[in-house]
Amino acid sequence: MKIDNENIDIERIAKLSQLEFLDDDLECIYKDMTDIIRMINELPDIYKDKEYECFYNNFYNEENSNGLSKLRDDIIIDSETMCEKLLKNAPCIHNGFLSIPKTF
Amino acid sequence: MLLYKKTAAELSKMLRNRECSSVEICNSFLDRIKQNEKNTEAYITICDDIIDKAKEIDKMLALGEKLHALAGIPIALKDNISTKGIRTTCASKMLQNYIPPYDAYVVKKLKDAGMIITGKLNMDEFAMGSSTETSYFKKTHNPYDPDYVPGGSSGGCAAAVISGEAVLSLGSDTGGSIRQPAAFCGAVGFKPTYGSVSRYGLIAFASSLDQIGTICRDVSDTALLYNLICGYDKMDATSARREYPNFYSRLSDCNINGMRIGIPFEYFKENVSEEVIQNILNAIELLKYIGAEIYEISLPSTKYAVNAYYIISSAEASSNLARYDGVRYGYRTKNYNNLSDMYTKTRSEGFGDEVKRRIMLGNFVLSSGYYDKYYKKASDIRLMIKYEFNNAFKECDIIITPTYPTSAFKFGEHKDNLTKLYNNDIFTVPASLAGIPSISIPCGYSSKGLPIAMQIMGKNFSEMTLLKVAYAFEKLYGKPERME
Amino acid sequence: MIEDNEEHINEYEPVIGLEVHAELSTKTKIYCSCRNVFGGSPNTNVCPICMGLPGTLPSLNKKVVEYAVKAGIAMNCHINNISGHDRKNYFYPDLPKAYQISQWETPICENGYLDIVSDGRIKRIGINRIHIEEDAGKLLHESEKNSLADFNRCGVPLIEIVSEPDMNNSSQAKAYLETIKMILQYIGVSDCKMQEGSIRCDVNVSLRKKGSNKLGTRCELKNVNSFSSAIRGIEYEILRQTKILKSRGNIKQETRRWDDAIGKSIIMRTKENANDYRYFPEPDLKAIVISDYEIEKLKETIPELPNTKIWRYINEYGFSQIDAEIIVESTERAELFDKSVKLDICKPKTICNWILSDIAKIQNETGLAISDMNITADKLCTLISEVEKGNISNTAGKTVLSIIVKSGKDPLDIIKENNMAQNSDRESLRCIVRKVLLENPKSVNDYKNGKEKALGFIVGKCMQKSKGTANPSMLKEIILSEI
Repeated sequence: MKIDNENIDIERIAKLSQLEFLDDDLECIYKDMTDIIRMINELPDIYKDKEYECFYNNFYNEENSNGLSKLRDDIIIDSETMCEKLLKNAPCIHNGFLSIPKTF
Repeated sequence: MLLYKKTAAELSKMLRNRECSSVEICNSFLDRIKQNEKNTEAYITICDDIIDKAKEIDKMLALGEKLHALAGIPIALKDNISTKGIRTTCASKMLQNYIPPYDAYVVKKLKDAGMIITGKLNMDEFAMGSSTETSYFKKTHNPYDPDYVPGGSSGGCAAAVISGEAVLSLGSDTGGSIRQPAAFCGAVGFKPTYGSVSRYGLIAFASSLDQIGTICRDVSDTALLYNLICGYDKMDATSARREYPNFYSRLSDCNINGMRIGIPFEYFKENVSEEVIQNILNAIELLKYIGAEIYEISLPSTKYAVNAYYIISSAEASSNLARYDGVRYGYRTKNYNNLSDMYTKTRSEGFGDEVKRRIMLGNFVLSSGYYDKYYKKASDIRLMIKYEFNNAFKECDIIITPTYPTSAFKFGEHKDNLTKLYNNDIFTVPASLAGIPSISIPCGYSSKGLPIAMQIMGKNFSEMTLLKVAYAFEKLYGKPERME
Repeated sequence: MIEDNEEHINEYEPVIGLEVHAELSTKTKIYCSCRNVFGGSPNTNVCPICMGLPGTLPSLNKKVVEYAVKAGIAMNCHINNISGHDRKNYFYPDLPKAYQISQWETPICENGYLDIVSDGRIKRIGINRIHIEEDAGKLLHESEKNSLADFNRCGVPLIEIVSEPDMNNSSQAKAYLETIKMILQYIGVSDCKMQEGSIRCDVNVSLRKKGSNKLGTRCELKNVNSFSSAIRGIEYEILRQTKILKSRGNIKQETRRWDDAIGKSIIMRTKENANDYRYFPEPDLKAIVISDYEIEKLKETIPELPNTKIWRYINEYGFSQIDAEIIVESTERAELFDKSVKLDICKPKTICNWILSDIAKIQNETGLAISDMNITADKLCTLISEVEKGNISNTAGKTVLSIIVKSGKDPLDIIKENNMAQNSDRESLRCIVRKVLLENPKSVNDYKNGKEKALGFIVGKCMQKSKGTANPSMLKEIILSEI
């Protein structure tokens, strides 16, 4: 699929998304993706003046980073009842394991 | 007067003065829901233990126990906020029967204060949309006119609060999902600074943009509720470590004499309806009347905000929604031959069209060969937008714009023009990209009688200022007429 | 034909890089407070965060960062003051969020090196980076149709150590792996138990024309479950790639799975099918900031590293490489040795002998670790010096040692209580000897007539008279001089 001289591989993106589109849906998604990508193709280059560079470099300030003291302490919190609850939403359980189709 | 028509602040006073009981309050809302829900269709799930919980609170009040101001007051939550033991669906087939085993941080806060959760509200699927039309379950209707959408993605919240089916609600805002439905339904929608309310338990759409906020009937209720939910949470690493003032008690000091209001001309150009512009300008005149000073400012990168937003939010969404694979929870397809089959069929059957579009877009902009052109560039634009706001807030205290280019639209109106719908997010997405707080407050009506709202933005953690200005305006302009 | 092969093999030089994953021995997982522990019934050591439930958020464990920094310091890396997290996106049932939180753009540690000893020479292997990431769950293949998933291991903290492609043969690779294992165990950040999977590696092998700087196409080998299978895998790959080049073929960039049972590698993915991980910065976590002060403090907690120790023992004390390695191999042995030497009571060589023979003998018999043997540096040196001074005999010394192990008592007390003091007083011994010689003239004559056995008899009689306390060598010396 070509948009503004770019070759967009819809099948590859669908594979990355783990989605399948059949027949009419495929046509629809082609059209939609074309429109959306055309829209987002308008992105300017940013002109970075000195002041902006300063702002950009200070970006990792207090609020955007965590020093060691702000990280979680290495203390165990057990929750036996939680584990049971967690499995309640599972579609298929077998002896405490989650059962899924075979992987290779 | 019917209890469900009162504000939360009023109900709280009445409860403490023993003028009514929590059971009576809750029954009033339950009756209203019974009566009106077929029209509005705001709720996905209604809790069955509301009265029991109300009885407990009444008991404690009778014993003279000192409780939080909001104890015994009912509240409804957007259905992407995890509630332990209560189905949380994100309005999606994928999570149709999913019951979280834990409470979101905000839910814990509500419960600790003795608030009563009435139910979970309808939304656009996984919070992706501007009309609540993409919900898997039902379409919610605008209380002003049922042929019109309530906005999205927190459409259920706005509709419930304005139609009397709830008095307080918590929604989420990623690119305008609280502010726009509030604008469409005549409610007050508040998106606080990114990081001021914990996201732990909010089912993620776009992590760096999502923020839990309030949709209420007026500014007082907004302040009262925000008081409760804001604060540092160690379970959310992006949560801000800071103390917050008591917003509610400081509202009355709302003298805005000398307040500098910036009006960015980029928000008043083409593609905004005349009616909307007129109403906003009128509102600004009112603020001038009580002492505010108006400055015209420029935010040049505004025109790229929508593109940057859709690139970043879709990228993060494509990653956040990858966990829905039918392995540990949620929907799993019935027909599959192998693992790959199970993944693709589960996801193709479990997700609606809009969600699938965003996931595809997200994977595209992150994929090999495209990352620099799209995601990286969008991130640079985002920083530029932050930078421009930063500079603007040196010249002014707050910025006022329309919340949305139009008032509410009809169902199906945008079905054939996706990008037009996306582009209408132009006024709300900049605040999301920059992380700054923003409140939408009703300021007029369209010729069809549908609400129009203005948006007030401030710099990071300037919520007190925003609430003060909103409160001052509301005092002057009055609150919208609520319908029966 | 054989010459042909050799010629070709000699034309190319193997280039090997290794990616080692080691589980860190913190108490909790990397992004949640679940126990970091091996095993357990399936899905009993999980929580909403490590199971990837909707709405959950990661919370970084401080200890993980500290351990990663320590590993980086121990491997001579530059520690980045600011490092970030990135998402690595791919679908697999053992990965709950369908992405792994890792570090792509700025890892915690970069540009380090390790010196290894291989083929009698020291070689420097570059370390490209060390970064932190989370482990995935485990899959069991139950039947033809189904697999079973257990998420207990999900979220266990890992460091990934990526080497430069500086190794050229399998013995260098082996030395590298063993050095890493020793270092990580030494600084206490990982127990490196291969059988529990707490250390794993992927191998990258390519061939390059000798003398050229240009690297050949590389193949990655996964599923290498032990150091020895890494060696086998490397050697197989070198042969496989050589054969292809020999027949003028091209090496394709592939990811291959090593099957140790059949001794072959099998294609998993080609370059075309390679995963597109779509890395982007993790929005749920802030960047990690580590100050220079904090790095210094962590540096102080790192003990002298094994290699440095070995070379110090060889150079300062004149030990053989083997002896040095054996002591260093066990942190407890090395600690006991270093502490004992510090007391400056006995010679290092003597202490070494005691540790490697007498103490080791008891360890072999009882299976005890040194920490369970009640042997302190103090007690050991006191005991050794009593033996060196001649206050007790060698044999008595061994006995005292085993009593220390059993009872923890002080050696001097033991010697006293058991009357083990050895008589090394020349005068009293001379008395005894003279008496015995007078009482046994026949034996004296027999010895003088060349019967060596008679000497033994006399020694025995003297021992008896001294009630076993005579210093044997001194006794013999006196007898020979008196006789």
